[in-house]
Amino acid sequence: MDIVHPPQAMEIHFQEEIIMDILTKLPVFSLLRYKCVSKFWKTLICDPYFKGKHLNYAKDDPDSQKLLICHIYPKERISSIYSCPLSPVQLPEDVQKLDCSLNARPFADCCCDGLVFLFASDGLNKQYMLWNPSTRESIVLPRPEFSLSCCMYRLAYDAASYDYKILKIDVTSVGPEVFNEILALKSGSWKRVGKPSFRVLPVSCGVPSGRDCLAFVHGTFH
Amino acid sequence: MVKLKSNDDKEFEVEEAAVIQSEMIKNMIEDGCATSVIPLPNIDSKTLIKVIEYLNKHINMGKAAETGEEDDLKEFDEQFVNMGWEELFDVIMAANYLNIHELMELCCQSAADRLKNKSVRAVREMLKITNDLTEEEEQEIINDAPWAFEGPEIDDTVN
Repeated sequence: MDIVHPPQAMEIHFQEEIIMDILTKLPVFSLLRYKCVSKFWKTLICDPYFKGKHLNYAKDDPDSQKLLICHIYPKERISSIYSCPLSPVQLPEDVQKLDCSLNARPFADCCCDGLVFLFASDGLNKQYMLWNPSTRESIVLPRPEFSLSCCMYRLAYDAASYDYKILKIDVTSVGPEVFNEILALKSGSWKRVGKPSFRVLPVSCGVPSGRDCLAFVHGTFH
Repeated sequence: MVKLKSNDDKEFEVEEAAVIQSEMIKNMIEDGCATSVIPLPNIDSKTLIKVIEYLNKHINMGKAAETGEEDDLKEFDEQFVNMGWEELFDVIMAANYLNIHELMELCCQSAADRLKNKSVRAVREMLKITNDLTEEEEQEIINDAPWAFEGPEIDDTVN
């Protein structure tokens, strides 16, 4: 039996697919503007599936890759963080400075999918922030329950819950208790995670510059 | 040889090695459905000529790397997408229908490069889109990222 598609419906279907293919190849600043084109474009650009597709494409696109620069001025006790394009083809004006609402010197601690996890400490207070230089958005994150002096942080995407998670690894405590915590962005609060199995001290300390991403597989950081 | 027929009833003969870059036609040949002429009701002859030109040039793409013809292909691709907006969109529709992945990528990239700096108004006009957002909704989007709507590079021309 022949299946007859109404020609008009088919055309619209094609259009959507094609529009998505084209939009995937556009830079973020164009997409933020084109949310204004129509309801359909707005819905498409805001859709998590589209965002994932766009991210995957941008990862391989040299024009999308960014360099993160941290300027530290030790005397003034301030620092500023910039993100600029790696590609020399792009305009130097595309350099983004973090508009910082943190009180103390911010440090870019780790990155994942173009997001930067920062923290600032003035000795007593610690503040945490997540920054997306491409959209120029930033949010202040809640503080962990156990705010220790020496911790390592890792940011990763959890495909099972469609959420970014930040793992705080306690590298100071020597007693039986280890204060490792996870922040799921959507939940907005830190949760303490299994203590004995998670003592990562020797491994982590062996890699002092280890700013690499921990993979998040089947709901666990590896 | 495989015969293709455009929607304005013109027939074109294409080498099988060239035409199987189209996943759709490749599947038809494998299923034994391409014994006579393949009608392409969505593609006019002008567009089909462009598509065939691309298929013929890219016929030996695997070999290009060995023979050092990669630069030649790159140059061909650059010239190929140097066409009017309407024409480019017709080729994209055809590449999508025929499922020719490389051609689709090439043309969508060209479309994206042309759209990248356009104003919202220009994009609507180029893609014949009617704005169905209210003024308040539009303003809300602008307020979220006003910097994305400013700048000397934003181009309001339609071409």
